[in-house]
Amino acid sequence: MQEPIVLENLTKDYGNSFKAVDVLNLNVKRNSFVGFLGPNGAGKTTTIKMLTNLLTITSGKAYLNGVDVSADPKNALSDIGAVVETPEFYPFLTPVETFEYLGSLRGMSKEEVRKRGKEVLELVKMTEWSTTRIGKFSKGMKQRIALAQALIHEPSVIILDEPTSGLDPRGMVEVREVLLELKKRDYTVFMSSHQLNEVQEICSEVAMIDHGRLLAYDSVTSLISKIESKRLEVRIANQVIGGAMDSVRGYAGVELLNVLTPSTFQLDFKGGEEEQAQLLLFLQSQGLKIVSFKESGLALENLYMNLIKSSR
Amino acid sequence: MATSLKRSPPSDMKQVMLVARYDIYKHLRSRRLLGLLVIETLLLVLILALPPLLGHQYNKDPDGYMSSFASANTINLLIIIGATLFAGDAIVSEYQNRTGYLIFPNPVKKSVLFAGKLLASVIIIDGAVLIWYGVGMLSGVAITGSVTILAVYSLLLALLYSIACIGVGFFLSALMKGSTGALVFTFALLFLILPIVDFTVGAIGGVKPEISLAFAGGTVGDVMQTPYPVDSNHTQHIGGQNLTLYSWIPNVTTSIIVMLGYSAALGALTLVLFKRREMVG
Repeated sequence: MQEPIVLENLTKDYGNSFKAVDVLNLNVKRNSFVGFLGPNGAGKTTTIKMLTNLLTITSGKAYLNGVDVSADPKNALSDIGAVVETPEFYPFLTPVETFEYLGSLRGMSKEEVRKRGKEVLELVKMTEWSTTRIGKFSKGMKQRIALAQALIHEPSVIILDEPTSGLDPRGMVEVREVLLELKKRDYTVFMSSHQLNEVQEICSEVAMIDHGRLLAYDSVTSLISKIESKRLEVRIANQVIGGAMDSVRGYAGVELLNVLTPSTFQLDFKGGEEEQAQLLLFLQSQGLKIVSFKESGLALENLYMNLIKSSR
Repeated sequence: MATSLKRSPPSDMKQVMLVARYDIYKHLRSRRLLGLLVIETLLLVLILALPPLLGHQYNKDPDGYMSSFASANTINLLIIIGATLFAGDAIVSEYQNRTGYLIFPNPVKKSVLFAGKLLASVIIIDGAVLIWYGVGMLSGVAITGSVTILAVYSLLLALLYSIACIGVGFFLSALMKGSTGALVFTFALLFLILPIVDFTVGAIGGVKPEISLAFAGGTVGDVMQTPYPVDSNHTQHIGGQNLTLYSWIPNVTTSIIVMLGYSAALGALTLVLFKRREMVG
């Protein structure tokens, strides 16, 4: 069976030597849930747009299920469900009518569309809105319908471009619930996102890009295990003592120390779990009454920031 | 467990019909179609009700009677309004309204989307033209007792003119960045700009504007006249100077070629522009 998504030296050149995507190579494995990370302007959306035939490819190749997107977009996109940017719908059509239109274009029978329409509306919790014109929907509702239309034909590959972007916190949670539901099934999902917590929570693998180039691509656990330095946040019952802080700064593995409040400080620490336990004992030995001692921020965020920093 | 069924998308021809069907459905829902039918009904009511309201008799000559249905002020105007509403933003709206993000990542070629949208526009506008001529001919039979073949020629020329106007609308909708601009420019070009250019170049400049679509569209009404009118000119003394004004009559064969040419050339250009246009922003 062909790999679901393969990018070979994919390049998008907008002229004036600006390359939004620069010789990008990526091979997404079947049934993986890949988070596609990168800062604004890194080339995430451009890559997804080239994959879904919304932009022409300057050079290189993009394959979906082994079919060249540029050469045969109809076949390449036949087993794909996509939500790119925040799509707009034909405002005068209802979700059911939209599914009928898109489903019929994808080769579904009326009966299949009816049956699957019910299932996907249930999945995105929009059943009661099935016959309301989409023009009346909020952005969050439209985003859920966008997810539903991407799933209606049961594609093997789902491509999502920042699916929670622009949603309010409740909308984000609802869309994440749908994504977690997708993870339980055997889809291949390729999802760009700015939300590192979302990626860490949902994705099995992460591809990071910047300036259109791939920085890292591995499983989330493997990437996190590579992180050498952890950010720890310490809260104490007494006040921060100057002398003790100097000792902590000098402790092996401590790279940075920031006093946040009189009873809280943060430190970047290089070391494994054993070294971390030793550090805790050392802090207590310095007269600090530890109330809490925990990792601060997301491991993926730390890695992301390091990679982005070193790529610039 | 999701099980990918790997469906084959329908044939291009079937997809063209699907796109056309849903495009017509969208126009029905958006009330544009209703708007065109209301305008058509108002124009028909004016033509049919005005003579008796003004105390005039209907023209008892079948061709004379049909001429009021086949003039630039009536059927050509209806066609221009139709081309504006159903072709003027057919392509650009997918980009400006961001519905392209929904429709383009589907297993459907842009040429198929173009053909489906074009078919929908042709069905709607030519449907309105057929209703127009149907009412004209039926009322003509009722009032004058007959309809001549000239009415059929006029209908055929009107259908051809409508397709050429749709071509203009599609071309502008593929070329321009905003829906409103494309709609306004389509109407302005067909209704104002081309006739003004024709008048300037033709009536004043003395050059027969044979390649103008608006000029070629004049055959829709001219064909109802027997004998077919001929070119003429007359000189007027204006401000102490002699000014010759030319009255050019489009040749039917040339006009058919011009209208076919516009349809084919603008259709091809639209397809090229649509295929090249990217979903940016």
